[in-house]
Amino acid sequence: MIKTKGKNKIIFREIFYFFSILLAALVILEIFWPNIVLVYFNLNYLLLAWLIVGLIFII
Amino acid sequence: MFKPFLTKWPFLLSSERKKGDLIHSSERAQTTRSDNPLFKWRLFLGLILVMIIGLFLYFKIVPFGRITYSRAWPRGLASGKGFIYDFKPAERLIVAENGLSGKDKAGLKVTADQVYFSLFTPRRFDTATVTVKYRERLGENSPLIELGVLQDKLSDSHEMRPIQNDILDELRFSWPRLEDTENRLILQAVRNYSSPEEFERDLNSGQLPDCLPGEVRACVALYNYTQALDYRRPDYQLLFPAVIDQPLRGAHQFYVYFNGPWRLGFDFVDLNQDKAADPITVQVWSGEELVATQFLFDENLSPDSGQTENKELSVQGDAVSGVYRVEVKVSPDIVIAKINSSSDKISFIDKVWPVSGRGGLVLFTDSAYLEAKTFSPASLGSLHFGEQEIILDKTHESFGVVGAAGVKEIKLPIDDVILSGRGVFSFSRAALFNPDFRKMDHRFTPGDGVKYIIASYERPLVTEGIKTAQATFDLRETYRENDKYTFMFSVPGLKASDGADDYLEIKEIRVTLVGKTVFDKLGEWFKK
Repeated sequence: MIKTKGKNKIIFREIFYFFSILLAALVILEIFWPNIVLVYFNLNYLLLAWLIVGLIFII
Repeated sequence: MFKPFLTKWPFLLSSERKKGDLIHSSERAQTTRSDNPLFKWRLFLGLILVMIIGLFLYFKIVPFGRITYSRAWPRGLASGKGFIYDFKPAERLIVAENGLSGKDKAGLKVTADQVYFSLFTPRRFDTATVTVKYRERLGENSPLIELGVLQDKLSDSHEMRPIQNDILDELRFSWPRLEDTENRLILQAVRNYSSPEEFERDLNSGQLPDCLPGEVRACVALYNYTQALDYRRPDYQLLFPAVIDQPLRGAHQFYVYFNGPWRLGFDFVDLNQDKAADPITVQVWSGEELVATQFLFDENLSPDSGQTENKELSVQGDAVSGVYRVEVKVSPDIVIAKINSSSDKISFIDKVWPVSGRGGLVLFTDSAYLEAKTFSPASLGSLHFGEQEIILDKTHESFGVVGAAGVKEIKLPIDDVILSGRGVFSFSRAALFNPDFRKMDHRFTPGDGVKYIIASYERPLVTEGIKTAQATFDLRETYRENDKYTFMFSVPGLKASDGADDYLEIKEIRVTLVGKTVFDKLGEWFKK
């Protein structure tokens, strides 16, 4: 059980890293080419997902 | 080789081990093997990351030069802003999403003429083909639906294309068709011709049956079609210099007849009533050829101050005898205070906006109807169009009336009124001349003296009550600001204030853009 809990923590940590890099990359793309991401996808949803995963990881 | 790679980026490996821990040799082998689960997981996520970024870059560059964007009602699950957006003005629109009325009722209802929207594109394209799916409940006063793209922001000119033309749809079955192909529709009131070639020959020679000699232009109407203009007037041998000192506000176009060396001089007044810079461009065209142009840059030293600035510009050339079209491209913050011309044959095209406050103005026009609008409460009142009277009792609203055939006089007691019609305007009867063919608009009636119609128009297709029409635009010289093109739906005669339940309901807009590919760009780059 402890091992499973540790595994889940690792998974959420890795997903958190993934969302962090993705968010940073998409924001940088938006800075250089405005609307390149926003026309397709609202970054607020990604930010929300990043926060939720981050909170789960911390907790 | 793989081992140094992994040790160089230790984050790819497990980070559960702390520094100083003893590692068994078998465990060391595992942490450097590519079948480490964490390594696989990170590699997988890294690939997804690269793919996502690559996808956005692909849609930014559009390497194969072709892409389609669409907007439908209801919108579905899209969370992004979309490529087709910013429909305005809001007071002319009713948006029905997929609510209680059901999917079939979803649509964008246009309740008044001229609704704009923006098309965002990640790069420039050469052509745009716009497909519109719509329903309409329009009255007899609104027989036309057109779509346009903004060509020039200063003069607010749009390149318009037909979506639906009820007049032509009806005449197609009542007038004999001489030609009905993808490129051209020719209708004749009476079956005088059996081949388009015979008709073209007589049109070019200026002699058509049922048309008065020398008045061919008045009995042929064009719609979305350009017919070469070869207008020669031997009686215009003697031309006198003319001065138009009636101030005119904003962009104007006029025809002028030259016969040899010519000169045009303009005095401008920059009102500086807004913050934007007000550059001035004057272009002189002979048919589709630009023969002269002048540009005056605006330093914009006193924006929004109300301090007027005087400016001058002149353009000259040596002309072959004939008609020239002059475009003065300025914003409404510029007043054309005076025009000095070496020819007294000057007629303003489709619109004139006299200002000055002097009042008691008389103009002449050959337009069959007149529309008047003012933004100034001080200009409210009445004006006369031939025998008809137009009463302007509201600002920012157009008031129109149809007049008798022929040249009519307009008496304007108070100016600062925008006068528009389908024809030419001049400040003296002698100066009035119209070298152009009749243009079909929403007020066109078959019994208007027109005997032939030449059009480039395809009827919309109808499927289960939904109409589908297409329009293609050349985007190469089109105005583009902040990566956006501005489009406009035009339904002349559609008004929200008339109390009628008439509207244009848009179900879907689909835009296919075609431009240069990456290979074309590379080829150009190498050629340099």
